[in-house]
Amino acid sequence: MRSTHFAEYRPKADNIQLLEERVEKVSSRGFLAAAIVLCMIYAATPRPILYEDIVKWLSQVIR
Amino acid sequence: MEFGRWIVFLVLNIVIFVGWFGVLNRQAHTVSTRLIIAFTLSTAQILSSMFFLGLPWARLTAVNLALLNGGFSGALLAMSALRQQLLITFADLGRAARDLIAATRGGPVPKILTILTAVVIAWTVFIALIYPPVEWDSLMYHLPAVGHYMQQESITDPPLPMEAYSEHGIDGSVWVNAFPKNIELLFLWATIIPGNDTVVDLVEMIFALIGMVAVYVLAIRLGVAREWAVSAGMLFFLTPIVMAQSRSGLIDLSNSALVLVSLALLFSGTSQRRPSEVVVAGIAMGIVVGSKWSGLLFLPVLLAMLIGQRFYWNYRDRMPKLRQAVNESVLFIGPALIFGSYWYVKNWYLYGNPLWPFRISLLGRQIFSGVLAESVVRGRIFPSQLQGMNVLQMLWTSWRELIIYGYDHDMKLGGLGPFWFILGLPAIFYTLLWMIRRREWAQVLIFLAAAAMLVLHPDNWWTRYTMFIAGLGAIAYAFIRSAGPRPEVARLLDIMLIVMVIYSTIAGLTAGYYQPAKIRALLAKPANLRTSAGVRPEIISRAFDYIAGETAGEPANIAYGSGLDFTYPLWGSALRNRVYYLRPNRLSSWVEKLREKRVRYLLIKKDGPEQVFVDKSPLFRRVYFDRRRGYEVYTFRGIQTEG
Repeated sequence: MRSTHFAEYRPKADNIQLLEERVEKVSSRGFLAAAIVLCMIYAATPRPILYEDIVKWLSQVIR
Repeated sequence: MEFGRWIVFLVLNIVIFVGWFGVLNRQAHTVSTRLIIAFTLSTAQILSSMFFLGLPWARLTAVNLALLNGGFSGALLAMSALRQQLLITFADLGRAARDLIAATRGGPVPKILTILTAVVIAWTVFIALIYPPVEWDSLMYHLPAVGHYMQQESITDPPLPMEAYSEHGIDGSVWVNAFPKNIELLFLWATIIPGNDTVVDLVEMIFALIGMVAVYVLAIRLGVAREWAVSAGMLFFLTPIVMAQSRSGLIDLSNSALVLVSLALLFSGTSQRRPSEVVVAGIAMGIVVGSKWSGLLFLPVLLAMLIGQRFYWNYRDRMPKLRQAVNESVLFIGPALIFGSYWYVKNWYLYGNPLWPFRISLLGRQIFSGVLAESVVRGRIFPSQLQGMNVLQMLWTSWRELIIYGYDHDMKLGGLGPFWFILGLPAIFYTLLWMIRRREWAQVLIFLAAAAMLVLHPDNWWTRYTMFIAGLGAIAYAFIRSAGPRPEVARLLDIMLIVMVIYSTIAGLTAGYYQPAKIRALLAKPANLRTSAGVRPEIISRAFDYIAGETAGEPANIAYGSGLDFTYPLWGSALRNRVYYLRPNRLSSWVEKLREKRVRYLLIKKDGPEQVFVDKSPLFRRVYFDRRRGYEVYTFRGIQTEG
């Protein structure tokens, strides 16, 4: 995934090690669950004028 | 003539940037780091040249600026050429571009983000080129500062109203002399060299792009994989409030971008900070301090982070702590004070208060007198939806985007978009947790510093002031995503990310006055008739249009009266008019000043203090009246009478 071909972009050696260890440490399912809950809260928040603007803009573009 | 000025402007910017990029040590800094360093130094150079030509004397002209900057940067370029660095510099930039393209081909997320970023850049350039400045604050004081400095060829304070609010209305131009003006000097740069304000609304977009690179640099230094570091940069750019401010004449985005530059340069990824990077981080923060009062709050936070990281590293490596911490602090604070302090010292000297016009009190005791209580301004801008809430409730309400209008450059609720709320926030929480478990305190301090700057800002619910946290959210997400979560989780996260960024990008493009029908109507008009009042008649009087129309062919001197919120449209898009505020003390002295300034048009508020004089004297003839907003335009015949 990570390109280390160019020295310019090569992360420091200790960071590579950290990165590899991180795979074990971050609970990706817990993160996903938190994101889904926040997504539901976000989606439930009303934004009528914004949605109106989007529809108006898209209809003017398509016309 | 005009085409020639554009060429000069383009060449100057390239020469200044490449001049600095070329002299930077290739072994010491990566290409991306050199980009943000060269940009910061280029900005510092332009500001320094403005101070040199516009402060001790009135020699701030396009020719002088071009000669000074061209000469200095030409010398830097010659130095690079002598060291045979110039060709290598271009080769580095070419290779970096190729690597960037390769990184964006890594997967569906970087590919889609790249397409969206390209579309937004193209759209922003298009909008900025055809729209006149339309933002409240830019018409009120950011751009009037440009007009005044340009006409007087210096950056000293012009004579302007001293009361912000009066019975006659808001005197918007009081803020021209009140606020620090570093970024406005860059707006002046983008106006004075080409000779018009066509690209002034693109200055902030350049900062957005630099903010993108700073996010990338910080992500890489935190150990994020390149593909995701590039994505983090683009996620910052695609934040709705960043997109909206990219096409504005406001200064919030540049400040957040420079905070990100400073954060990136102060954390090298190891315990070895490069002194040159600490100095440039200080310059970046100095520009912030000299642009916005909030910089005064941010600077000590970043200093505390710098010292905290140094103490942690040296404690861990069993090295003496104090000396290096002091050295780095001086390298950081020195340039910050050099580039940030002028405007405060000037206000202290001229008005007896560094934060004039606000009254400053500490523990109930007034330290500096002023004409305005901060609570008065806050009371006027504070959204009713947040009344009675504590800080956390306010942030929650703003971040979940309980927005009453579409995405806008100064929207009060929302602006960070769904990505920040849904993925950025939990990503910061998880990343911090991981860093704390690993005892990566130097990395933790970066996020704590960002949190401290957020909490310290008195209007932290207003996302325009805290855009830098969007960069941290993007980095934290990239940190987690590049760690390689389980494939099924990664797939779902990618889908969520793509859906929400496509949605927020479209939503960000659709703000009310950028509707396609309005764009078509604007394009149908000749460039000099695309006026601010034409785009936003709900806040800008048509009286400005009348004056713009009358002075389009032959520029004129214009005076304005008390209680006027906006003054920038009076200059016209080529800034060929000269604009004055003349205090109405007595009729005879006021008329004398009008004569002295050779004023032809007068714009006043009906029932303002100037109205009595105008009614008494036969020298004035009303030629336009905006009944809805109560603005009157008069011609002044004092010059002809005299002749």
